[in-house]
Amino acid sequence: MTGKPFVLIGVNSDPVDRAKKAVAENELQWRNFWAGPQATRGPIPTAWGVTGWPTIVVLDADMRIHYRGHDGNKATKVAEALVEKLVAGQEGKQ
Amino acid sequence: MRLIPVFTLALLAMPALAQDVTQDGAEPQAPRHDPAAAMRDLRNEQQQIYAKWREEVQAIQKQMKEAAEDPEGGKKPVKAFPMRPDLSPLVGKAQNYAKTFANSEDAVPFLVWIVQNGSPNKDAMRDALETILETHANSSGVAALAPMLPYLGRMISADIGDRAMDVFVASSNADVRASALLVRHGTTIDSAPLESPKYAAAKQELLEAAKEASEAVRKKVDTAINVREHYGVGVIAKDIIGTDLDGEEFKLSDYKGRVIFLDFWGDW
Repeated sequence: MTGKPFVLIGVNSDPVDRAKKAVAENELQWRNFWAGPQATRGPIPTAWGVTGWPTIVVLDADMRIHYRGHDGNKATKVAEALVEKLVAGQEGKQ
Repeated sequence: MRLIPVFTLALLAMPALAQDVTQDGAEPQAPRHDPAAAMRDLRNEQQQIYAKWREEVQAIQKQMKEAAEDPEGGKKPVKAFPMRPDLSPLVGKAQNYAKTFANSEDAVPFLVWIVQNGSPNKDAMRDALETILETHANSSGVAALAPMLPYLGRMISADIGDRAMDVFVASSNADVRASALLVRHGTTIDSAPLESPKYAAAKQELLEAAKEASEAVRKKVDTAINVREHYGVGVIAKDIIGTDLDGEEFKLSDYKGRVIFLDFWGDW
């Protein structure tokens, strides 16, 4: 997805030190919101009604939700299709 | 001299008087007429089994780590760890408590416990669930089983799974009814188009059932609908304004214009 209009954003529910260690050890490149000291019951997971981890939400360029669930493969396919459509739309305008 | 055997007999009888025994006399139980103490007893033993299971899992994980670090480690067999603790030793005990308090509301927590924890003992789970469906379907305590309704068919048998859903939905207890409807309409609430008649009907039935339910169940129903209508498929998501792991503020909408893969995760 490098160079394409795509971004991966995390919402991490660990204590900050542990989250940073996981990011460093796994060489994670994406930016993360921190869920706060209440962890899985922090304001972001609570507002979004997340009760199972990991939960993945795929949003289009207008922030409309196209997928919400726990299946990484399915989420990836939805994201790839959206990126393809977005790129095709951008190329069509040029 | 004749007094000694009588006194001895009395002494021998004392433990039996002080402590109830199970119907087969095999093991001591918490005092009769005290279901709360009996449930504490059961949960204490459950916690002890969980603690042993955690120790076992941690020991196996340690072995796996050592094997991974050892160049010859791949040749050493490592035991697979059980995915959940074996609670089967407690099922008989829970059954005895359920019998002790049979035909009263006090039996409900034990019957619910058996359905929740009895796997893989299908017979025990079936017996407990049958008793719940026949005798206790209007007891608020059985609402705790609602999240299991989609799985009871697979865990016990298809016929009882479907029947349990029908009985729960027809319960006169609002908590049981609303909790079951939340499961029955779960897929519709989660994924049917918001403007569809199917979604509207499911939402109306849920809100109607929740009106008479406890605050906790009402909150679950409200949350499910709120999440669907503000954070569900087809909806433009509300922005997230938060801080990153370095404490720097940013917004989800900073990335508007790109496809966003939002991953709620943790390293546990």
